[in-house]
Amino acid sequence: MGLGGLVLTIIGGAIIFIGGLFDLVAALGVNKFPDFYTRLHAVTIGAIGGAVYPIIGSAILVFGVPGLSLSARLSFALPMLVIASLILITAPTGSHAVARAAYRSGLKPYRRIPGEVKK
Amino acid sequence: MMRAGYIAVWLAGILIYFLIVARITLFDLVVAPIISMVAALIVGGEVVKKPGKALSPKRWLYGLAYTLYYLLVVEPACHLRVASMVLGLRDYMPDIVEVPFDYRTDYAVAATANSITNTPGTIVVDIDPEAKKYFVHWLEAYTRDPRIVREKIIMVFDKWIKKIFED
Repeated sequence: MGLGGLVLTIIGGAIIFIGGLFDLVAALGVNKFPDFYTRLHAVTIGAIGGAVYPIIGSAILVFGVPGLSLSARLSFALPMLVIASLILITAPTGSHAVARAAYRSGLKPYRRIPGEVKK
Repeated sequence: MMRAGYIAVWLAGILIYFLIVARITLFDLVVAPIISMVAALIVGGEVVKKPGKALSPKRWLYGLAYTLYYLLVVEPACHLRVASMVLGLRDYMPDIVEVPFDYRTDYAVAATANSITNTPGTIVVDIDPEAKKYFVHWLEAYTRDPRIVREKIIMVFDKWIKKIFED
């Protein structure tokens, strides 16, 4: 593995690792946040930080894997980038749909009272 | 004019097809234009109203630059901010606020709504197209002043979105 391959492997691996951390934070947030709307923010961390970034990271990582032809690398990386783009476009559509349904059905957001002790 | 709209969707369909299969064989060269043509005939008239905009390389370059800026700067900053709220390192004040906008096209309205929702900390819960307002659930709703709220929530996307979809 050349230096370029090593750098790409480290960058790709680091992005995937960070994505895993974001998934963990998203799971904690879904448990910790107090209502439906605030939990949606935690879910967004899982959808973007925990899915889009690791997919982009795996597309970068494949260019660092030794012994693959360029066409093999591209046949892995290009669909990954398309999938990441499609998640970026479609994920908020789902969030909008459920958030709008909750808002229009009259679900009130949780409001902090000034001076309230944090949960 | 309408025909160019179908062509724009047809070309986009072919591009996406080849990006997904990531190979060029005789089979793909035959199938890609046919499948994309079916998709273009179904949605081409509705999706693209001004084909000159859809086929403008300048707008696509702005779109690419915006995507890079969004993924490398805006998203990581928002992720870290909300992650620190989850971990109890930062306080939060959730509420639904009204955010005025001044876009003329549906594309700009939808793209900004998507950008807002994709960043943790802000989610569009409803929209009033007549009053030109988003209703945004915001984790840092310390103010309701429309000018400040607009500055904090959508101005980071505004100039890019206008260059891509409006100017």
